[in-house]
Amino acid sequence: MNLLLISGFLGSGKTTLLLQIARHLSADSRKIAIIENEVGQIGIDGQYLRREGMDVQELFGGCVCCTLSVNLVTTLEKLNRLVHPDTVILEASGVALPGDIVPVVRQYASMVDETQVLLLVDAHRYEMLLEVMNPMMTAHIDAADLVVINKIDDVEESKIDHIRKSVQSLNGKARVVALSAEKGINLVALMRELR
Amino acid sequence: MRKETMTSTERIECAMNLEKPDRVPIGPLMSTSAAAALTGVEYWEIASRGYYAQLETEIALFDKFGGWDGVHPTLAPEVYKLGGLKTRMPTKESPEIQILEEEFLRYEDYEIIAEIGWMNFVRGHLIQRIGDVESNEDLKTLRDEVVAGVLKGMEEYRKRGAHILFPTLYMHPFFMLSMSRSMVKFTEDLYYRPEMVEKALKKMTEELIRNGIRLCEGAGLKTMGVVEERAGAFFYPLRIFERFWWPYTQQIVDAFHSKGIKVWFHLDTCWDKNIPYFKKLPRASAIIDLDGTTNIFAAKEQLRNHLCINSDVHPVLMSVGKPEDVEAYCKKLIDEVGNDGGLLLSTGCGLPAATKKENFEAMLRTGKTYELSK
Repeated sequence: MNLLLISGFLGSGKTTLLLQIARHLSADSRKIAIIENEVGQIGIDGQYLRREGMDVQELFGGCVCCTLSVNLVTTLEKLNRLVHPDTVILEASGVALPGDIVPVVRQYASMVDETQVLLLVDAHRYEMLLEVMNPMMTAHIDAADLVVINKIDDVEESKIDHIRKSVQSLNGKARVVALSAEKGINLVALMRELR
Repeated sequence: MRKETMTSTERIECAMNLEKPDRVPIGPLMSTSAAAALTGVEYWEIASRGYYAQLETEIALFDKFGGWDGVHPTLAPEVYKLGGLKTRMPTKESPEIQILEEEFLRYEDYEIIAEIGWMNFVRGHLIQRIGDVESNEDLKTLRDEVVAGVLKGMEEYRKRGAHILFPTLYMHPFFMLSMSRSMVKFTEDLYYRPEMVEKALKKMTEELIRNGIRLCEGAGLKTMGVVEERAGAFFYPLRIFERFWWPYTQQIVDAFHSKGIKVWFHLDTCWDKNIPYFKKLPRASAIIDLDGTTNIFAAKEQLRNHLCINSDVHPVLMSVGKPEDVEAYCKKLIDEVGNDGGLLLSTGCGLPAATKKENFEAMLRTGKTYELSK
């Protein structure tokens, strides 16, 4: 099974994007399981997703910076054993660093074939967060395979371009997609990158 | 193995004062979920029965595994609620507590906090917004339950010869504001409205000092706990740390130190770049408790003969590692971080619920039998 780790700060639109991705992949006949670590609206949507045949595991609690990795490995083992998903989507807490999680998954979760890290950034807040939370933001960008610039629906093209260039200067290997998860703008481009 | 010549209290105080004890003191940071798992009970069910049931579970674990040196009050959901944090209780389907981070604090609240202090703000404004506790009377009932539980815990552990590490873990004012405002909003405040944040931090620091000293003196304890997760260089550049965290921290340590009380800093995430600042604190005035992500060996080089370090067998090692790996790491810690004293052997952050019994045994056994280097 493959693991897609969606990271990004609270309020960046992770849950909305996760739901979009899950629906697209599921429509493609892939068996999807979702691990929810960011406490947000998924509780309601979790029921909806379960009715659509997706398994939703909540992975809450503990000190996320050090216990998320531990609980994630056991949850992945459980999903592999009971559900056999094609893809597991993990919505990580905004304070969790993929750079800490991925090595643990690679070392201890042998059932995972491929791990992809998708970082979601809010186009409105990117510059402020990059300045004030520079260490966190650069670490997140550095660990990402794919950076998604979200909430572009009311942002100027020049700003989106500026963010794109900023991301690529920090991580030349990351693919970058700009979209609006809520408005459904440019999701096709994202799904192309995920396949 | 040398014969033990010290009590747990003597051993811990020796290490905290940067002298070499008879063996390394052991004090895992306990979580009730781990205690429940290791004693064969369901955590969510225990948590539903209140603070005392959770305390009993942790004491049962202590007894089952032969005890250790340092213990602390049960960090139950009730404690978080008292502090003004929205807390999701564990359930059968989702058996862990979770602090829910929402924007409960509004921008205009900084002014109010600066005027009346944090706890008055919690009582007068925050609990109504959070909704976990319905009234001030309920808050008082909750407080009475926790205080009684903490006192009972201290009594029971003292009967067993253990040393109480601290009476509670206060959240550093920076961390408290970040959690209550939500991290992104708080970050915006640091960027756009720093003076308002500083006003609140100043008042909250004074309050922490006043209440903390009173609490320690009332409990007869010489260490106060302070937790911080978000001020380190993992999140923010040093200029933010230097303006919004460090001055208040120095003030806290100096005030407690003047009363002969040490400050126990539980520091989550990586503090590698911040550790050098702790050399400015008075010698032996604090204990630096790391969660396994800060480089403890580099920290020791910075803080050797200056501050005691507590930590850091990583949760991943405790849960998915093997006992021989746990033993080897504990020995490495004792040899390289504890070789001149100044180490309390512990887990990196809380003991995880997935801890293997044999790994926990390995940590305790190694701590009790492995000699501190000559």
